Amino acid sequence: MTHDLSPLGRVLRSSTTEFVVGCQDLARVPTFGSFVKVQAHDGVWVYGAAYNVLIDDDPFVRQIIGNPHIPREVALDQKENRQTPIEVEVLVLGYARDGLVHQYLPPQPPATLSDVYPCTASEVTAFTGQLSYLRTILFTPQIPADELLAANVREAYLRRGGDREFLVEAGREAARLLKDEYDRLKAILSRIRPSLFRSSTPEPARRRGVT
Amino acid sequence: MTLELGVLNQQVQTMARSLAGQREEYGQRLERLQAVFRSRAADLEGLRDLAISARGAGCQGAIPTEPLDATHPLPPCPEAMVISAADGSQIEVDRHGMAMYYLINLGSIVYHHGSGAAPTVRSEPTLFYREDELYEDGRLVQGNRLDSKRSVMELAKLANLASPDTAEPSLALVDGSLLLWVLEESRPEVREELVGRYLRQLDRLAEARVPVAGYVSRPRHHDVVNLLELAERGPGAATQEQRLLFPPDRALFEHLLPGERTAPFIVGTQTNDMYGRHRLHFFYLNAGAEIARVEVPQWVAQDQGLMDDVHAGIFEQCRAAGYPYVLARAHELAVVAGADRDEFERMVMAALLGQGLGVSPSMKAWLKELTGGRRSRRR
Repeated sequence: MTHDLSPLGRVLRSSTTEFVVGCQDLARVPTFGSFVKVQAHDGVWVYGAAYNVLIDDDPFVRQIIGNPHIPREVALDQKENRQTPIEVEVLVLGYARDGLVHQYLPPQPPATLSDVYPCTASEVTAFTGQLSYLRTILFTPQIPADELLAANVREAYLRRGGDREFLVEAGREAARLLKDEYDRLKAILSRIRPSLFRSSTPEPARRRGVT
Repeated sequence: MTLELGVLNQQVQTMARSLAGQREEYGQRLERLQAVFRSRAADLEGLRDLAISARGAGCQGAIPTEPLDATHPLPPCPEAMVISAADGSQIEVDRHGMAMYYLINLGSIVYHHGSGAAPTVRSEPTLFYREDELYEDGRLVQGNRLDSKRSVMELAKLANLASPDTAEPSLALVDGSLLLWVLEESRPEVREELVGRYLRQLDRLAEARVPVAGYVSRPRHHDVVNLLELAERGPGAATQEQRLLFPPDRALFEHLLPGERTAPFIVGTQTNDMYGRHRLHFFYLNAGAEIARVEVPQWVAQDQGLMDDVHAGIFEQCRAAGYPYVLARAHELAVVAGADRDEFERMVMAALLGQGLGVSPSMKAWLKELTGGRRSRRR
């Protein structure tokens, strides 16, 4: 899969633990669980995983949508030219500075309007070289944590070029973190098991894995 | 909280009672005006002479070009039509800010009706900071003067967008009146210079045969009402204060069917004489969701084909949202939202600091920042 490395949006609001990205183009909205990065102060690149997409209510569209006569030119203008307020919520997982990855919260959140980029394969590989960030995902309240962890691990596995060892190690880390919660662990492991990716027809298998 | 809502409440209640009291008077006035409208509708010559002769006395009644009650049905909309719109917004000079500058952001759209293609949209900001840009005629460019500068830029944009090669009918729209707002207290030569710049852009549109129109939503104009007052009472009978309580013109044209328009009237103000071949005309149109006022220059008003394009084009544009779609979008493309504005100010600060220039707001601005919070810093 090729990745467009231009900014996919800008920071709308942020805190130490999460930030919200305003995107204009639905086609470029980061998929659930995928890695994004944004620069904060002092050469810090904050890394996070997208966990929710909101398409906000828009009074202009509301005014138009109730109308049976919507010219094609208007519909295309709304889709192609108009800044649809798509918001992507991102959980902060760590940061990198001077080439060093830190899997704990950054010193400062990113500023409003900072450009947000998708992470490259090598950045994903570098960041997922350690797995302590999985704890951040699992124990963040009020997010779909188990689904996010599974989606993020699947994403990392693929971006690392189908790294089976990574998948096994991520499963082990999840088992350590959830040693007292067997049901949660079982549900997560079923969502990241290697057989999901080992099908002879890789595409359907992957699609099944991502849904 | 500094707004004493308890004190204000009494005033609000009094205002509401006063407005309710005026409603009856309003209804009576409207009935009376409608009676004059009906009785004098066919008297085109008489009304026109009356309006023209009363102009010297300062009465600004509309000059009719057809019988008052003449209506024109909606003409068929051309299958293909190029509809453009331009709108501007500004950040005014902040005397207490870090530096003296103002910004005009122009939004524009070219919409190919019938093409099935997405329109082309643009937002173009321009920063003005040189001394000759900040001061004109020894005065800071702000308020009305900045508005008129912006209006000139809007028309210039529309003229630039007009492509003379196209065989398709076209229409160029601006939001609000086409009459340039020039300060009455300006010296006559300054007024002429301002209007001259505006007229040069109208010239370009006329040469490109692109009919230009100003669309006024919920118009509060009284031109036709003034004419009827004049017809009933003679010049000088109505004072300016009374006139403000009159029903607006649009109340006289509530009977228009969807898509129907009135005949064109000539704007009766003295300023209109400066417009020459662009002398402004207006008509009222049932745009579907409201009675709107449309202003056009004389060369449009006197050309049946161009008038049909304006009439049909605007009505077609109002179908999607009850207001010309291109104007809604041009406005949206021009508006400088709060977050962008803050980012722009940070950019200015960083650039000034980068040049080793001190950046500090005035003491007044600084104290406002401390006491009023960011949101109330401007206006």
